[in-house]
Amino acid sequence: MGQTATTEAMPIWRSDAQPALLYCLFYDAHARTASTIAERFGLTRQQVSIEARRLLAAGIIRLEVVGRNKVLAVVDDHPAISALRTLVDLTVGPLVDLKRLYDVDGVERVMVFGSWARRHLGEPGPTPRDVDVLVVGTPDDYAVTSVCLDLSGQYGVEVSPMIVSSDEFASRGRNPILDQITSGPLVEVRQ
Amino acid sequence: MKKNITPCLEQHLPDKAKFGNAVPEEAWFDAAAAHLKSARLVIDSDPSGAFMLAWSSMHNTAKGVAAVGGARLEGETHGKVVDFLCCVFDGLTNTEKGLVRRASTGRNSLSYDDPRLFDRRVCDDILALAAKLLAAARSGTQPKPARKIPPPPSA
Repeated sequence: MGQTATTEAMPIWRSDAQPALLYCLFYDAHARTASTIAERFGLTRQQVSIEARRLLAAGIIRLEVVGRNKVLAVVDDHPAISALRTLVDLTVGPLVDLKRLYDVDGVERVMVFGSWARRHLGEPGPTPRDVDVLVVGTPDDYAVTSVCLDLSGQYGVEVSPMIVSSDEFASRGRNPILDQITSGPLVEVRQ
Repeated sequence: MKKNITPCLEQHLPDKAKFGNAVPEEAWFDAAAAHLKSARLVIDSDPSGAFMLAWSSMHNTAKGVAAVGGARLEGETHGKVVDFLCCVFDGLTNTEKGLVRRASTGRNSLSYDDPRLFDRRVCDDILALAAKLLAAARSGTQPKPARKIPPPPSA
């Protein structure tokens, strides 16, 4: 069972399969079986199954029968869920992958807003259907879009960038859309 | 394109794929080509319309592919059609998969319905991809590898 750069960045996981499994159950409506989770992260089914059994035994996840399939789901009211979500988000997913945007010239700040940000901050609700990203700066639009399209393809949900200049962001109260976005949950992607 | 379409239909469109097809795949592919032609005609004057036409083309390509698998689609959502296309054309890069998904949502700008921030290059990429998917579907092959997107220009 491999430890790679993924888990070395947050060296508290037993294996790569552990955060991968939890990430899918938190955020990916398509990957809920050991096979699909393994495929999504380039792991073997056995690696995911081993971790799933441990988390099932601990009561952190549960097994649901949907049609002919047995799918995994998190136990939302387990006391460790909130802390685990934070750790998962620091290991895999948008808060890690969106750091690539800082490689684009002109990008000053990157933040996630909308449903993904609300789930990250622990607000209960359905699985996010997209990842809304606020990019502050004056980058080339196409370069930002290219990074987001790549992540969209990787995640299987749309990663939608919204680019605003630092002046627009500073005077966000005058723009109703920006005002609404920034008055809601906003999660900073750190460089 | 995968030789066996059925697993992708069963995985992504289990309730929407009705086996027993009345419309031959070529009719869907012709419709996809017509939408693509219209998209190319209007892209300069109405890029946002071209964007939607490109998605119509991809959607018709998906219906044609389903017809190859002996099924017709009924009541399918755009998101499921994207998943189905990405399953059938499993050689697509992540960026191409992202483009298909973006086409399906109709978000062609970098702000909410703000046409000032529309990026013509993304629209061009989506039209090129729609043509590639159609060609691959017609020939029963995987799309040709994507051109590499150049790195962002340095300051």
